[in-house]
Amino acid sequence: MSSSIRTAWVAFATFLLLLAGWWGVAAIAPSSYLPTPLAIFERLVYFVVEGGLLDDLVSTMINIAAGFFIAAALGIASGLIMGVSRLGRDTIGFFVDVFQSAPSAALVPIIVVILGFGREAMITIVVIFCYFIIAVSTAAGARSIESGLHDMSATFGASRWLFFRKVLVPGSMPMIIVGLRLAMARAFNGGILAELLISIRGFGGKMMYFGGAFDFASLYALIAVALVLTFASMAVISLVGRQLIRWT
Amino acid sequence: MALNQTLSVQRLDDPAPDSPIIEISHLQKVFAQRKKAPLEAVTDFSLDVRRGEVLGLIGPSGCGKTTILRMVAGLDSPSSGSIVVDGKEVTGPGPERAMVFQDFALLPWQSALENVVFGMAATKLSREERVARARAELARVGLSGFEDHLPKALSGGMKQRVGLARALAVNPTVLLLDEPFGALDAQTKTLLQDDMSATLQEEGCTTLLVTHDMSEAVYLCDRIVVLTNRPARISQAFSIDIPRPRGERFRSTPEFTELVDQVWQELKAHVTLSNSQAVVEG
Ligand SMILES: Nc1ncnc2c1ncn2[C@@H]1O[C@H](COP(=O)(O)OP(=O)(O)O)[C@@H](O)[C@H]1O
Ligand SMILES: [Mg+2]
Repeated sequence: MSSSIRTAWVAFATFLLLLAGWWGVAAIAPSSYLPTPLAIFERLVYFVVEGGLLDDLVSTMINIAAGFFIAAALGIASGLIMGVSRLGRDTIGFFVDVFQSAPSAALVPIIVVILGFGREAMITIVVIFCYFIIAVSTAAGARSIESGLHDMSATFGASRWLFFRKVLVPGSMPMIIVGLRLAMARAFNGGILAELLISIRGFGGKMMYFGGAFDFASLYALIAVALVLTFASMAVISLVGRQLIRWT
Repeated sequence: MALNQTLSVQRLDDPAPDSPIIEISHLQKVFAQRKKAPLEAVTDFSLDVRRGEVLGLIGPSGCGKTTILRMVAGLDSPSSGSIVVDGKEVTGPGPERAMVFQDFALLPWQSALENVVFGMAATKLSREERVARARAELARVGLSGFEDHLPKALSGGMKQRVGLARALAVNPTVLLLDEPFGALDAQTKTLLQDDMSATLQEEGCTTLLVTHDMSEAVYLCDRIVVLTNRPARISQAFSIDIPRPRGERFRSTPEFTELVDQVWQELKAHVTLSNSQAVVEG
């Protein structure tokens, strides 16, 4: 515990240092693309007080959450199949290997043609952004289960279902959580990018707007909000995850 | 001289000389290996084990002991030869055979109790019956009060007690022990051997004990089969006609020391050979 408190302090100190550096540079050489932290903070307060951001934020968060949960379901299921079945590894595994490094953003035009400019398209983009990392880490988790536990389950005649519930899922859980955590960051990326590319709507749309208007203080304020939300969501996964793998 | 007698005279208290419960004939196992010549781990291994007998398999490390045990457990299939347990040819794992693993093979995310319950997966008992039996078995191996502990909260010796409770909970006809105390320190090992000795007596189940520890074999077994280097074959079998359980005092008798030495004299040649072989291979 004390070591994680230390980590938090060091991280916070680093943050303050960067902030101070930024402020210094912004004060010495003022420019529109490098507003002072205070200017950004003022915009942030303005957004919160005025509340104009809330609808956009909620709309974007719906895409991100929906995409994340769909990707989690698909990724965990296919990862487990890849982890235990040779056939699964040769089929889904092959597909995942080939496509995980494909530039996801390049798929956007195709998705738009198929699904239009609505929510479906944006959710699909979020799914594509997070699916692979979840599938790959789940599969790694399933494969990391010791062969001794496979042997033990076989000797005692555990059914496939019992093996799934009591061995495969809990044994893969640490890596599933790692995958979900990384996927959460990608979900935010995908959700905002989808709005930037597809339609000037939601949180990403607002970013596009302020960027186009050269209102960089507002843009940075929005980026800060996105970062904080991403970080908080990842922290939630870590916290819940830690409860699920208390046996480690 | 008296000693040789102890070694060779067959047991007189043998129950009616019925058919053996484990019949292994001309067992052979060859592992196919990628980009290498096939590896023969076991060759022409034949052995009958009587009902209730505790049989020790001892041999140099890497000679094929685990391979034999895995085939009896049904985890691996023989390349040729056959294994018959209780009149039925072994084609896979079965509820009449239970195994205790060297590395315990406990589910780290399940309590001691749930680990024992998991072992009863193939039985027809209800959940309540399983839990009740798991509690009873844990109590018997001295783990009352530790039912809810996760494996990480248990010492090595306690973990193996859970492993033993899990195996005994299914009332197996045949107990397969693969170096069950191999991962434990000497003191814990001695304690567990004493407990094991008593448990085997109570249960009366036929036991195959794989070990590389000669004194463990002499202390626990009715018969000790010394295996050659890989591929494993029978080099020599010793009967130890001293009634079980032998009691911890047995370890300090000259008889015990003499028996251990006899086994060692037989084993020695193979161990030296296996070391030089390892050097050549390495
Ligand atoms: N699945 C396998 N594939 C290839 N070789 C194996 C396999 N399992 C065991 N072996 C080899 O067979 C030999 C005997 O192994 P084992 O039965 O584990 O020996 P031990 O007597 O120490 O228990 C060893 O040389 C081991 O490397
Ligand atoms: Mg072994």
